[in-house]
Amino acid sequence: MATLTQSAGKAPTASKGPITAKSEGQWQMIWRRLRRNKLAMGGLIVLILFVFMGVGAPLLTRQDPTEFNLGKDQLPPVWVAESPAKLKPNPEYIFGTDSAGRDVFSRMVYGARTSVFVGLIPTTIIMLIGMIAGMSSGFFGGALDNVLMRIVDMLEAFPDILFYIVLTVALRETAFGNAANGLLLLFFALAVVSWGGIARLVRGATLGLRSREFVDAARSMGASSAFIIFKHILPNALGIIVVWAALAMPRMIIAEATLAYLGLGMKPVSSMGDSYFLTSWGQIISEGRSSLNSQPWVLLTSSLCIALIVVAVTFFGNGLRDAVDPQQRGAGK
Amino acid sequence: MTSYIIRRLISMVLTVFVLALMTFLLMKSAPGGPWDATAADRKGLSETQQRVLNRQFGLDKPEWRQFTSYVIGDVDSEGEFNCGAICGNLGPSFKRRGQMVQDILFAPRSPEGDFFDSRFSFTLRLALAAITFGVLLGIPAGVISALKQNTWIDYVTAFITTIGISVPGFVVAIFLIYVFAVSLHLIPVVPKWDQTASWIMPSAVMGFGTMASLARYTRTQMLDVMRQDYIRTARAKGLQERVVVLKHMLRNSLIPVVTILGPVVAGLLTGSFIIEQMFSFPGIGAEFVNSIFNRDYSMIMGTTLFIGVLVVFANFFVDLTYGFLDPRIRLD
Repeated sequence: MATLTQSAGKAPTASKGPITAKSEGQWQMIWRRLRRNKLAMGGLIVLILFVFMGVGAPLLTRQDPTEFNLGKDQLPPVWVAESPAKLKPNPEYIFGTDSAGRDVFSRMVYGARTSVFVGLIPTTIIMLIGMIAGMSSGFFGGALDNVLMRIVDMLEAFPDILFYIVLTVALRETAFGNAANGLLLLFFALAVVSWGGIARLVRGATLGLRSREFVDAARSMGASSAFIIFKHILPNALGIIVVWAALAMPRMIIAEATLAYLGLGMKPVSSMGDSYFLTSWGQIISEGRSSLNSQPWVLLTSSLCIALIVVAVTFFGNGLRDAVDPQQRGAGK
Repeated sequence: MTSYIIRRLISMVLTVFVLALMTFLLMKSAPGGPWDATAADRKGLSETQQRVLNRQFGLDKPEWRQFTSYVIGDVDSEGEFNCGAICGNLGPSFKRRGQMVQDILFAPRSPEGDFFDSRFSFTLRLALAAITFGVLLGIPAGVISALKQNTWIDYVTAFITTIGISVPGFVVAIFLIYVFAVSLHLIPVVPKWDQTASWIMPSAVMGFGTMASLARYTRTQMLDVMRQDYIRTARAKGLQERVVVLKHMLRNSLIPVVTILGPVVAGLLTGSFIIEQMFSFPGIGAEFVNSIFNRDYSMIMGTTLFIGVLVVFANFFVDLTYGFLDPRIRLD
């Protein structure tokens, strides 16, 4: 028991190596710490596999994920001898087919594409909005700060999903809602609702950095606000921003899946040439949700994928947080 | 303190008002209306019928007036003032033939039922069941993994809590339904809400996330408290380990944990839309999702306002508790 009061004990990423003479950069140091965290690296590998799966989907699949194979619907996956409807599996469709006869495996692989991009694009947009809002709020203060932070209060006071639902329902049937099969609206909704958290975080960091000596020094030498923001504030705040982004990615992926499950995500694509994004895991679950008894493989494969990617990104994000700020180790979110 | 409460109350009213305004604007900008023939429900009303209905429900008035009459109230054709949402009058539902929204939420679903038969009571009871599940499992899990830090127990708990925090409820629900209802036949596939067995799964799904965040938070707090000097003092004066853990560590680390229960309860009451819909649970969440698809304007507005008030009060209550539990925090 006595050791517990001493320190955090042996931590998997604690730096035990010899102190090298060569000084390393901040990101090198973070990468070194991150590399020792097995869970985080495992998460990163799974994430990279999903990225390859999504981008390289055409190479991995033989079946068209949008094609209705007449008479071959509801086939079980190859490891099931017989489906509840007494159908035998077909080796052409290793994960079986859904109720419209579409290949579950290729739909699942193409679903990775949507989830990966939903994890990346809205997070990037939110990061940019949040950085701009948070830095200007923290750096310039005053009325701008007041207005921005009241908006953030408002956004944070209510469950995100409520906003997502209302926004997507409202704009779904417009030209904007139809663009890119509804994905543009989805990205927009995710971004508009979710920038509050990062803005507040960046604002806090900016407030702290603004009063530091090196900023005073730069200002006394006649540096402009823009110079101070980009040269002094941004590089110092980048660590927490990147950690936040890594932890926001799973939330975006879940939001997409949830909206798709409610029938509010991307619109169904009927032909392969129509769009780069063909389906999403949430959509597959939504389409197959009534058939958990007759075709459990449809729901289970996509649910497993969602669970896997989300857990993988979370482990990576947690590891990154510990690597960027070892003091924060084990702290709640 | 009093001025703090007054300022908070004013900003709460403003927050809910802006929420109402935003919901109204978004809702109205959505194409289609409550009388549309949708694929799911072909009503096919003639134009005359639509006009009559529009007048009956006040949809022929200018939009700003629809908003003020919904929120504050309006004078009807007989010159009488009908108070709006501020008096708790959430308006007649379009979908349910003019049944009042507050009745849909709070009144018994059948004429002979009592409050326990109302939709809100169902949601409330599900949230209570979920939170009981979360507290009973989450806090002990957090305490144990802190006491056994960096052992396999800690790692397993950390793994499970990460899954609980990150994997969405409906995915957990699919696995649970598949394993316990479809494969093992332990729980009826078609739920009957007067039987306890049907409640187990939705409460477990909703409670899983709560359990995970409570476990993680408790662990963090415990680790923090364990390193305090007064713990060393307690041990040094020869107290039994059990007393140190229960009286000194647990009590001090649970104070902050109690304060996160506020947002957790609010989240459970409101964030259960999807779980309720999945289990065909007769609560307000499922009803809310359906009302959006039906363009049931007053139902959307009413439910959003109710949820908004609930969340705002939960946050307020938590901020007040902070002040009481930790006198170092000054509210002003």
